[in-house]
Amino acid sequence: MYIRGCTMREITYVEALNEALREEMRRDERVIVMGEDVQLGYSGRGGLFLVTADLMREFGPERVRDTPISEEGFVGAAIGAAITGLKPVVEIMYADFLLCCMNQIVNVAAKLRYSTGGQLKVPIVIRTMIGQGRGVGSDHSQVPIAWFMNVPGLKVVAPSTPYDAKGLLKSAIRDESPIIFFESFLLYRTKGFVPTEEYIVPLGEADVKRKGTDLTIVAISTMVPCALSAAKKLKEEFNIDAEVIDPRTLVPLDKKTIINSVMKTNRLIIVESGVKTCGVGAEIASIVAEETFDYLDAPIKRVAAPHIPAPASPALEQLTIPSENDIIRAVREILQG
Amino acid sequence: MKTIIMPKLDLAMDSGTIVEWFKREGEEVKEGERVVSIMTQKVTYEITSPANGTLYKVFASANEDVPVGKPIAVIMEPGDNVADVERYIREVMAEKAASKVEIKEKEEITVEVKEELREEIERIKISPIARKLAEEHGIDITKIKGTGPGGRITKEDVLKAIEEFKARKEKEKIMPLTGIRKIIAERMVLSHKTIPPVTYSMEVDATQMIAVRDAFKKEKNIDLSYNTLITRAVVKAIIDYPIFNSTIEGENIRIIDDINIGIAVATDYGLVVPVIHNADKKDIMELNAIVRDLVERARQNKLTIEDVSNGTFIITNLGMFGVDVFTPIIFPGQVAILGVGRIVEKPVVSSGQIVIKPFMTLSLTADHRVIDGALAAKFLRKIKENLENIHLII
Repeated sequence: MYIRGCTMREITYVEALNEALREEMRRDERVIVMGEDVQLGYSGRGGLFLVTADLMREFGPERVRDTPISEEGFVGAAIGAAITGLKPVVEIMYADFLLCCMNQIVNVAAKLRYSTGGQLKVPIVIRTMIGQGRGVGSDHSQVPIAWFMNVPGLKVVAPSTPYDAKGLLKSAIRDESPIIFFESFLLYRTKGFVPTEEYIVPLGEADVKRKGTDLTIVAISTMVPCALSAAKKLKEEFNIDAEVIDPRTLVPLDKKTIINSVMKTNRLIIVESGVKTCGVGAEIASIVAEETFDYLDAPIKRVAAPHIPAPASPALEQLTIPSENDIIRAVREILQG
Repeated sequence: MKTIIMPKLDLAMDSGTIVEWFKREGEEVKEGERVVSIMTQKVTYEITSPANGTLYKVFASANEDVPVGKPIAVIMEPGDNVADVERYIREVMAEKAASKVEIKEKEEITVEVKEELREEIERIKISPIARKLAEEHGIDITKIKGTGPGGRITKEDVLKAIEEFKARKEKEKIMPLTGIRKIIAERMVLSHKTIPPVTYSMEVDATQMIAVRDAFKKEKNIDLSYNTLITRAVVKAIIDYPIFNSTIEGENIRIIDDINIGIAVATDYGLVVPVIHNADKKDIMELNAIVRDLVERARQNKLTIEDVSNGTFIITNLGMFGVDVFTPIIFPGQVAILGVGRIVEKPVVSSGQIVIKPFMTLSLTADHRVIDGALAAKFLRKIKENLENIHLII
């Protein structure tokens, strides 16, 4: 990867997020961090997986605040802080715990700007992690992205690379809307090139991760690296040239990039690691069917998790997360039967 | 916003075919500027824009058949609300989609053979883009073998079929059965399916016809056409046998008061039949002027709806091409048609002497449901007598 005029180095997804937080906290003193174990945690540096590493050392406990295990309480507090002028970045350790503060997010954060006619704004970023892939059980492994897409008033972001993670988190912090920012355990240790210089990635812009002509694969979050390796194999072994698109932001969704791609390739597969029923794929498939039906040359296919609670057994859990082979099988199914 | 609808150009018209769009979607149009040409079963007609604005949406492409009164295009005028126009377009498209299904159902009742075909079309697995491409290029999807999963016809299959069709078209000179050709095809098949025809032929001594033509040329410097003389002879015969000027309506035979003689004219774009209305009320000079005018305008494709409407009996003349006898096909809605052959000199025995005389053969096809052989023979003989004594009836 090369960006003109930038010095690049390879860092992990976690390091990229950490940089984004640090840079934004330096840039704007209204930015604060709240959450469970964000100050020190098990690591002694900050955060369960070091996303908030060393922030307390630099910015102090006033701006990097540990909270009790009470999501409803501290998300409510963060909303109050946001209304009164701060820019809180709240960490919900596992995305499953979003359910504990659903009322604050959906009924308060998402609605205040509307119900007050724009007098109040809630510039809050709720960072959370999809715990899938750790074998930590059905209540720590859910992928609830689509649930929040269904709530008017929220923006939903789910980056898949260190570059996007950093650029999008910075954009999210600067945005005036409440934002649910999905990170993924399975992406935390992945590495990617990130410029040393400052940059941002705007919300609402999809990224074509790989150009292709035979079909479009829209991959979400964790599934992007998987889709890319599947695309590579498809080309090498079956001479099928897949285009891989990462929407990066689910709300607002960059429909144009997806539709243009489908108009070119005439085929669409959506890959997500959440359950298939009413998932992100269902929404994207509907949009494409509605708006570009006449360009389809094959049924739209969704590759997603089965409709079951995630098994705690790591071996069984693996079977529920779409794999490279699942994607290849789906592609060949619509292309070759 | 102004809508262009398929006009009703005559009473019998229930649909029209788009021939050509002169403007594309998105192009500016001025009021009165021609936008599209349409074709009815009888004529081609140009529709002009009802307003200044943009040709925003076209609902029917070339060769598409549109029922009378249905929208074929929307003109967006300055100041129009795009959302309103879009909403209207969606309504029209939805209605159009619904009516396609209705038409299919109608066909099912009238033509049983189509029923099987229709089911086959519905059973064909084809992707949306493949179907759209096939429609755009006039490819028959029943002839394509799908190579996609489960035998689905894919975009690639259709693109291949289009290539093959193009290659074959160049090699074999395949022309689409569209426009006037298609209408003629449908009419002729309908005639053949519904009318039991019998053709009777009879030789006519053309001596008097030639003499009369020569006299008019010499004395009045007027070119009297054979079609004029034959029309005259036919009209006089119809007055004696009005059943030949009739039509079958359900269980009834209706004799038509007006005698409107159609003259079949071969043109570069196909066969057309301009009509001499109330031919029995015209004198020979009027008749001749009308015949010449109609034939000329037919060749220039300048006939109006009136010119081709309400014919009751057709004369079709292939004499100039050297044909003697043929079996004309009755136009549906009429009961007979007269074919005219060439004039040729023949030796005949007359009063014990071999003499040479010009002869012409007439071929009368009559609908046996209405007209039996003896009656047809009498009518044909009447025409023969009229032509052989043409000087007495002009």
